[in-house]
Amino acid sequence: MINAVQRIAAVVGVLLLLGACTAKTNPDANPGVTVKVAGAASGPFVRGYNPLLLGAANGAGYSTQSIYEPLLQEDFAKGVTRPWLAESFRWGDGGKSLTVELRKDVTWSDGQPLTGEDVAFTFELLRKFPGLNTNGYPLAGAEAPGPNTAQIRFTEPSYQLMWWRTTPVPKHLWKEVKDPVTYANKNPVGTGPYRLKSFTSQVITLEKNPGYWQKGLPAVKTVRYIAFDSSSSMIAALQAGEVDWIGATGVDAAAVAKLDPKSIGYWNTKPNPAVVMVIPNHSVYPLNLPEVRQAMSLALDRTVISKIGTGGQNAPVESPTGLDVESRADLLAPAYADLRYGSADPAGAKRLLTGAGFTMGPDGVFRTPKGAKLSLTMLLPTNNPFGDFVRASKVMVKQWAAAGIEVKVKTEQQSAWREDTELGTFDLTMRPNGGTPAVYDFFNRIFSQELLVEPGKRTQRNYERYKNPEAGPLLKLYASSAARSAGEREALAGLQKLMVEDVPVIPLMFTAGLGLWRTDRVTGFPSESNPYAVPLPNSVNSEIVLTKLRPVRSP
Amino acid sequence: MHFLLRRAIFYLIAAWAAITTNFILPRLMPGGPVEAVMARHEGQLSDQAVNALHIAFGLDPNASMWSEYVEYWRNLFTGNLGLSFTYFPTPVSTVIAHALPWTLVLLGVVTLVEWILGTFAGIVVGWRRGTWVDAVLPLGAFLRGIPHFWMGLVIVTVFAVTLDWFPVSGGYSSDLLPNVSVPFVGSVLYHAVLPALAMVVGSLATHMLSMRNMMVTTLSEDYVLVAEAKGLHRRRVMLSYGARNAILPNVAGFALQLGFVVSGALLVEKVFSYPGIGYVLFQAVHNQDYPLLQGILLITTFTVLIASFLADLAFFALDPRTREA
Repeated sequence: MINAVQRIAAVVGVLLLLGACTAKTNPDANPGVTVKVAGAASGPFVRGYNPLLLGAANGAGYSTQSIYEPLLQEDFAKGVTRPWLAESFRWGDGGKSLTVELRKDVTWSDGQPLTGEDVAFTFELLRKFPGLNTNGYPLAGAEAPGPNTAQIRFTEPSYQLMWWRTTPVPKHLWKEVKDPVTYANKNPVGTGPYRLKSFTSQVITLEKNPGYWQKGLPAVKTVRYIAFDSSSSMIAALQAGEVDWIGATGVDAAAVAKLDPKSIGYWNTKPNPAVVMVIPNHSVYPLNLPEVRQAMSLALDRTVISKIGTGGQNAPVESPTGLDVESRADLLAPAYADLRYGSADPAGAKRLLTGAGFTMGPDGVFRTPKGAKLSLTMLLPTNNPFGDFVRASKVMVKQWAAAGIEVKVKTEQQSAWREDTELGTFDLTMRPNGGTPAVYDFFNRIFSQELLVEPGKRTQRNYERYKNPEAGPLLKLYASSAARSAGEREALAGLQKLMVEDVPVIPLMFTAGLGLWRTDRVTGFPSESNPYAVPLPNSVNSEIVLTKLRPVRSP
Repeated sequence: MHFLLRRAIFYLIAAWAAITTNFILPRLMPGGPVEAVMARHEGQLSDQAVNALHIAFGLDPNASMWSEYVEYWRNLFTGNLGLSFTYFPTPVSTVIAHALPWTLVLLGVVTLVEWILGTFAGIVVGWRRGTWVDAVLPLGAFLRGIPHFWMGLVIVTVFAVTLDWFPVSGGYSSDLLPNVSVPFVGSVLYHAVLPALAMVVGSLATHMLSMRNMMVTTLSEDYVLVAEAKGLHRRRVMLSYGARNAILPNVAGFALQLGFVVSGALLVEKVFSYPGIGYVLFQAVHNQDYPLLQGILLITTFTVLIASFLADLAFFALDPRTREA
């Protein structure tokens, strides 16, 4: 026994020595040259760089987003897009034709120039291979009328499509690919600030693309993406200085920053205008009554829910239109420009219910006009990466109880909950909606009448089963109206009126996005005072952040 | 030879049942692979993506479970495990080939070491029953009760974050490229120390306690008394009379544990972000990645079956009674 212990001690000792040797042979003794990134808890990496495939970025630790670039970059802070590979674009033919003018100074990392042919070829690929058309563009065809121009044609007015999300691929390499749907693209050639240097299942090393079109950028020559399995091990590595920038979810950033307040910084933000909403099922009595939904909304205090229910991680929604008042100020209907949610108003909620024929029972809970107790069940996922719904619901249940509405919370495993919300087998639930810069998309998910289905049939939109003959034409008008046109204004005013007066869904809070970083090797991360991009290493904005980082000079 | 033939038939039936279960179990979960991808991108994707994903994954929503089952067997016989949905379009075999060696090396070595050390310690502790050595029993029972991942968290906090003696996570230093060189191999060993420690501490105690208890039971048998009375050397009595008879349950335990090498390391790998198969399995379950799940479960089942077959062979060699049956 004692022998065995001695032997273990000896083995450990040898390993320690070996480890100490490796630590000293570290090739990156010069700090600031390399930045280490952990995109998400994605597990071991798998070599795949097909930017047209959905979800492929996850397998390569989101390093794809520093190699391939979108046509326009999304500015989440302002809720708009800004010119990127495309310098400008214009719509023609009533929204059925899109002409994109590309920058003239962009080259692929193999030296060939980016041309209109490349863009047209990429959209043609999406048309020929529906497995790649993940945005569901109604494509009619694409051509390149000029060397830096691409024209994309659609079968219906497509003003509100998020066409810029498609990243062009080089035609001279991809035309040889037989089946682009199952093409792994192990040696990516892109236009981004970095190119692939080496790949292992644990570390992806990218080096500066010397021909990058933003001259002089990036300042950081090497980026390493490191594989992590969990948020907790990312945080331990951040604390130990083994990684510089992490995309951890469901953590209390302030507590992490306290571990090393000199070096660790963070920004907890609304990374995109995705709204967590309470979804009432309109096929369940009495949630089909607008007064009940209005009363439920009135009874909530969103500031308290945000503070206590989410620990301040999720910001409260302020405008009853569901739009973010900061980034969407220009899209708010004039009638609702200054309308804001107040604090909880249980008395007002009770008045609404009484007016609708509800009577207060002896137990402080309303009775419906049909005589049943106003008791509902809210179905929630046990865990969700977009916010701690269960914790928030504890605060909400109390606020509803004060207004005489009984809500019981029932939790389910995530995929079971997803199935139930899609099939419409619930009374109340909470789900995020939006998350794209397109406000049309946000409202389409709430109001879509095309995908209004009976409970028991699966849908990906209009989970609440809201039926309104006005909604369909308004959405149609919106889809066929150019940005900032009178048609868009009319559609937005109509849809916001439905949101405020009919309360088809109850907007609650924004989804949270948290970036955590260390500033002892590099600085220049986006922050509240300098919100040039979202601080998430797994977002399309990550290439912007990486180009803005500056090495810290060693003393 | 009857014994071995009967075992072989048993294993064939067990293999069929296991392979079929591997097929059915993932499909009993609510939702599906396409819904799981949609979930990963909550709110970011248009619902048109559902259609695109069905086409890309080659899933036919109208295909019957039976035709999928037949296809599944055909692919198995041709050695085609399909394309992973989580890491689309990478083949399942590639995903497994990258992750499995890490787990096999770390856990294979750890399992072997803890079994040998634990069994040996159990023999010694059992032989010296009733002396001061028995003091390790409550300690062992305590260590056995600590879950591996919790032990891992404590070890990370103490040895990696606070004392900074060992790296926090990963399989090797992110500054090195994998090759057969002293710095790289050293880095791999250095990174393996803490995860190995987290698992060895608890399991060692388990093996020791079971071996010790069997040892105590065996040593009270009459033939051990006879051996001692004959004046045989103490070591011969301890090993050939006591340990050889007491070791049988521990051999079976070892075989069972080998099966868990693939699946049981999940939490430890998660705590240390170790690049092994455990976390890939977790991802596969989370994303309802049927091909990947089937691939990993197939390997797990075969490890268990092969390990218990080897245990049977070991029984055959160790226990003369099985040869006569």
